[in-house]
Amino acid sequence: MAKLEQPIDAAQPLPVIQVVGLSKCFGSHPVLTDINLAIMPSETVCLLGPSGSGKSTLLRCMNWLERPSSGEVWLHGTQMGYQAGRKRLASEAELAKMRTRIGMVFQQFNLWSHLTVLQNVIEAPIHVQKRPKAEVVAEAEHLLAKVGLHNKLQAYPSQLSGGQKQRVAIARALAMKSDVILLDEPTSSLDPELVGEVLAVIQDLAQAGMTLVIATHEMKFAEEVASRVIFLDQGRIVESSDPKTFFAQPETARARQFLERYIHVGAI
Amino acid sequence: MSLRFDLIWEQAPAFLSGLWNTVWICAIGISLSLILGILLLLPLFSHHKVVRLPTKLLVEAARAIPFLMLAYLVYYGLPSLGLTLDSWSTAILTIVIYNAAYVADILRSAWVNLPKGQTEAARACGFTGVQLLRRIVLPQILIAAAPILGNQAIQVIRDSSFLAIITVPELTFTAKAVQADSFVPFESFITAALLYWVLCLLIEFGVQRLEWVRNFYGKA
Amino acid sequence: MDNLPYFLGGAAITVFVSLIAWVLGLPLSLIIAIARIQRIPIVDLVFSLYVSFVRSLPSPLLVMLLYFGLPVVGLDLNPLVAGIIAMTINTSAFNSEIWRSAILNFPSDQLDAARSVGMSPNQSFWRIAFPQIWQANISNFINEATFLVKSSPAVGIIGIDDLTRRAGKIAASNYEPLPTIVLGMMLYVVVLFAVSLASRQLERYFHDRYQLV
Repeated sequence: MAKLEQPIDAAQPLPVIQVVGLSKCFGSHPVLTDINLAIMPSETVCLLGPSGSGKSTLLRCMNWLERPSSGEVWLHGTQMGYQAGRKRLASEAELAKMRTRIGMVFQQFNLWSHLTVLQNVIEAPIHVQKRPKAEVVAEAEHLLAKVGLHNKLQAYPSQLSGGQKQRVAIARALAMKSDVILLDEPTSSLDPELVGEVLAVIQDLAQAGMTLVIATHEMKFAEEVASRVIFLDQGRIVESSDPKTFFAQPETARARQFLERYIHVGAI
Repeated sequence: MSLRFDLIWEQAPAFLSGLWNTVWICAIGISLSLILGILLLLPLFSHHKVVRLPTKLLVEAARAIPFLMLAYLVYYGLPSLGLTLDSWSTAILTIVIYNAAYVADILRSAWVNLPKGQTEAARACGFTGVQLLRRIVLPQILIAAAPILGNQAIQVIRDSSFLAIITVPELTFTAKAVQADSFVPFESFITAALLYWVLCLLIEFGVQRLEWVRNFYGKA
Repeated sequence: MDNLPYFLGGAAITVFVSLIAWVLGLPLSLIIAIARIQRIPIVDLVFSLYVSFVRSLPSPLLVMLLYFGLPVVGLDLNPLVAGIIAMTINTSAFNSEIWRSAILNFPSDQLDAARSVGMSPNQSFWRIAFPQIWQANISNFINEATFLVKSSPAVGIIGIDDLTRRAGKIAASNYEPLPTIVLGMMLYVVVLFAVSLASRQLERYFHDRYQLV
């Protein structure tokens, strides 16, 4: 089933990530059905949709943290999960190498509890990418300053607020210098007053031209930051359009219901 | 090199009697220590510091010494106080004292982890002291601690092997005697080891069967 | 009290044997746990039988099996080596269960993060899971060390002069066995209280620092 060529449109530049006919089932329960999408360089794509619509699973399938049941994920012309140019499944080590090109930020931050803030950020560049330590540390300090945590380098995750943890997690993803960063509901487990500081950091990244795919429930943020919005419902892509159109006049009834509920909830 | 398990087979009656001695010594020791351990809960949960603290210290200290040390205390020490016991009584007394400390500690922590509402409801109904312990607390903590008590029973059986050193004719002592007699050390000790294994697997099996009781009560 | 230096010497031997067995048993038990978790076909079966067997095997019997039994199959060990190997085997079975449940219960989101930055399974185990599991379970491992100290009198059977054996020898030849044995017991209490105090301090230190899972 694995094709050797990425299906590309000659008129378009090469997508950073291209998902082709991807489906994912947990047991007999389909979570994603026939997903096709392409993420272009410097795009900020927001995945919207009700809880359980498959947003997280889609992100996790993109870097093969979850192995898709069928379909393909292409990363700059190489196929995720398969040996280069061949139909054989990649080994865990080869897969690991591919994953270094995709950063990921988790809903629960997933900072490593036994490492300090700085160690969390430099861990993978040094030990996975084998880059020189001095260079990595200097870069990490710069990144942490950029997310406003220059005075927390030696702190442990347990000493940070949720918002600070998430900013460290973003710095950790950035330190990999990957082609794209996937953010899985980055503000959903934060206290309301801490959401802003994290969204501001993400907005900076978007403006700096970083390619981002964000699963989120923050409608206002999506409207402001997204270059494109993808609406998922029951494991299918229902709409894909620019944010202005989507929020002003959604094409489908399901998207309209979804937005009404959100605006309604937001009003309370 | 050839293993002579045929010589072991000839000594089967000796092994069986050693096994039997281990079983009954441990059975009586464990039963009595269960009772003593439960009784120790009263001073351990006493409201008076002068009662509670020394008991706690004794229990902690007993759990910090090796079984064999206590056996020596009973075996060599008690006669100097004018109390001379035969080897059976020495064995059982040692197990009872030693294991009661562990039982008391296991039940104490089960009691501490018992939802507070249980004892409060009982006190509200007028239960106090021994009655509270016997009717409300004990049934629940015994069920909750059953797997740990099962492991402790296995520990008693393993410790009882030390009794061979003060010449109690239990299973390890038998294995030692047989190897000295027929000079088949490997075969003799491995046979005893397998018998201990079977014994402990039976206990584990029994504890697993108890699980349904625990599940029935929602794992108090 | 005249016997105090003699007893202290015995206590040193007890601590020495237990400590070496503890240190050797930790990596051995980790290997057993990993082999069982990886479900390496025959190895898994062999180790699960090993753990079950050793967990019910009395230490005195194990010591004698190694010292008196193995020469028959061509392995002649000196008493100290036999004693230390027996204690190591003993603790490896119990420790492997600690490792196993800690590894199986290690939160998967910590490993997700490791995979997402491209760590191989080996790297994510050794760099992310292992340090946290070690620190979070330090008190369990030290608790196993106290069990080791308590089963170490087994090595006295093959003539290693540990604290219990020395206490027993003096008690058997002494007109006042009771104070002799009480003194020996107190030394054990001191050793084990010191160990559990250290364990609590370490646990608190790690806990405060990382709030490990």
